[in-house]
Amino acid sequence: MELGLAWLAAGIGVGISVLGAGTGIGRLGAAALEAASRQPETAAETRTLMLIAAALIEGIALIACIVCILLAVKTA
Amino acid sequence: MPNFLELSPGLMFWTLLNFLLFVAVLARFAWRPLLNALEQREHHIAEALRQAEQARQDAERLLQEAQNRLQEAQQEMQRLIREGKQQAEAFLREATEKAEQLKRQKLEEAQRELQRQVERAYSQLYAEVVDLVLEGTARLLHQTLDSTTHRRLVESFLAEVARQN
Amino acid sequence: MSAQPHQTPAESNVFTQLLEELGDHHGFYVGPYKLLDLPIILWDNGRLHLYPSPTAMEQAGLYRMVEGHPVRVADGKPPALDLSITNLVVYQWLGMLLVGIALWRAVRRYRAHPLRPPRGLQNAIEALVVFIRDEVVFANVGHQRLGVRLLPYFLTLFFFILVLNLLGLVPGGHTATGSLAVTGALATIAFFVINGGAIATIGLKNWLRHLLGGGPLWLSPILVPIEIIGMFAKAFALCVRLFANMTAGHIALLSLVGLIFFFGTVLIAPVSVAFSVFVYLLETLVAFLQAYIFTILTAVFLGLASEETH
Repeated sequence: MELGLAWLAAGIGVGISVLGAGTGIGRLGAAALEAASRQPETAAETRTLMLIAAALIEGIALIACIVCILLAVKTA
Repeated sequence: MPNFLELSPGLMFWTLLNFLLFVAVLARFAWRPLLNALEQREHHIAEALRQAEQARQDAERLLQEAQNRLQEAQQEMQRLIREGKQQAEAFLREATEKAEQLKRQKLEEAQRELQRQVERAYSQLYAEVVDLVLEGTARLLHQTLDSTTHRRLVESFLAEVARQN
Repeated sequence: MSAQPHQTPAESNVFTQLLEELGDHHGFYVGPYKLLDLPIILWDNGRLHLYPSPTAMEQAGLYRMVEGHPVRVADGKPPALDLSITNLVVYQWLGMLLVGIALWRAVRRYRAHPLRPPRGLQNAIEALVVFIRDEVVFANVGHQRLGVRLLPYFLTLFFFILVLNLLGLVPGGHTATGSLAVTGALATIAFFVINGGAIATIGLKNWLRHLLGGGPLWLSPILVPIEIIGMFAKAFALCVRLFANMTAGHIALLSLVGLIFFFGTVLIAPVSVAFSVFVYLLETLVAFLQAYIFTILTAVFLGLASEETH
């Protein structure tokens, strides 16, 4: 029972964190594309900034995923 | 906890050791010569570019100069042609004027000469007429009259006749 | 699990068993095949214990392997410090060797013809080096001198992570960067580089002023703990990001392969293979991307930390 709940929590947690990260990176990508198409001469800089911001968002999402993995591999 | 989530201190120690050693070795034997060579070549390329740019500017300057010179020569040529034409025209005009003047001068001279001749002829004619008249009158009057007085009389009469003519 | 999980019968959970592949082992593995036994180095009871292999260790009688780790025979507890040379250490050496050979060849050519245009491998290395130098380090580390001094660190970091990521994609290769200990060590070094570089550039006083986060003094009870946590969180995020990115792709691959066993039919194999190829290509991109991200984030954090004052 307890293990089942842990797996459930892991699944729901992964889903929510992926939702958040996906929304964040989606908005970021949209903004970066808009900026790059509006000012193509600064596209390289925009790309770098986008990658950095994406990495930061991703980092948080990955930490959440690690927590979920820890829940999923719970054996006690 | 599965194996791959472990934070094993041994592996961490070895990673630290490996990485720091790697940094030290690569910094000394790879990055320094590599970055130096890169910098050297970038410098070389920049220098070559600068020289090429310099050569291009020189060539442009020379071309400009040649074009300028050509233009100047053309202008000079045109100026010469124009001047020549002007000179020829001036010369022609002068010659014409001179000829005209000469012609006029000669004509005037001829007229004056003619006048003079005519006047001389007139005066000769007067003198002769006077003499003839005097002679005739003397013959007629048998020299009764004082020659000078009568001469003046006749001359005034003749001058009157000449005026009426 | 024993040191050779591959010899256990596949009656248990295939997926869990495959996950064990991602961990570290006391032997040099290519794929599931053990090529070499690796020496065991233990620090316990105030002295070093050296054994040429796990078997030799078990024969010596003081320690035995339990679930892939040496424990004392006497009380069944792990030794104080396990400094054994493990599979991932060997993969690091392999990666260092590959990078070393590549760089050695490039440097040799640079020495021979410093002014010729680069060729082949040298060209690839040069493109990466110039990219890291100009776009990653100099563009983000504000201080020119600091950037020049730390350039060897950033270049080595990038090539080290890149080669370890790529080694994990070579069929049979194990990913050293898919281990928390390895990325943790790299993040620890990054932590010291970021803060050490900042202190060396702007002085301890200015660095401490950064802890205020630019806020007024009366906010310091809130801001200082946040800034301190942020300092560690940056390094922690670097560690977890690299680890999770490298592991996530492998787990996805293993899950796709695991589908075949889960359904117990070979009919699912085409789906598995198609998706695996996709994930594999994605992982190749991620291998380059994560090496770049780790390097550029370190440079960005260093640049932020070594700004004069807010």
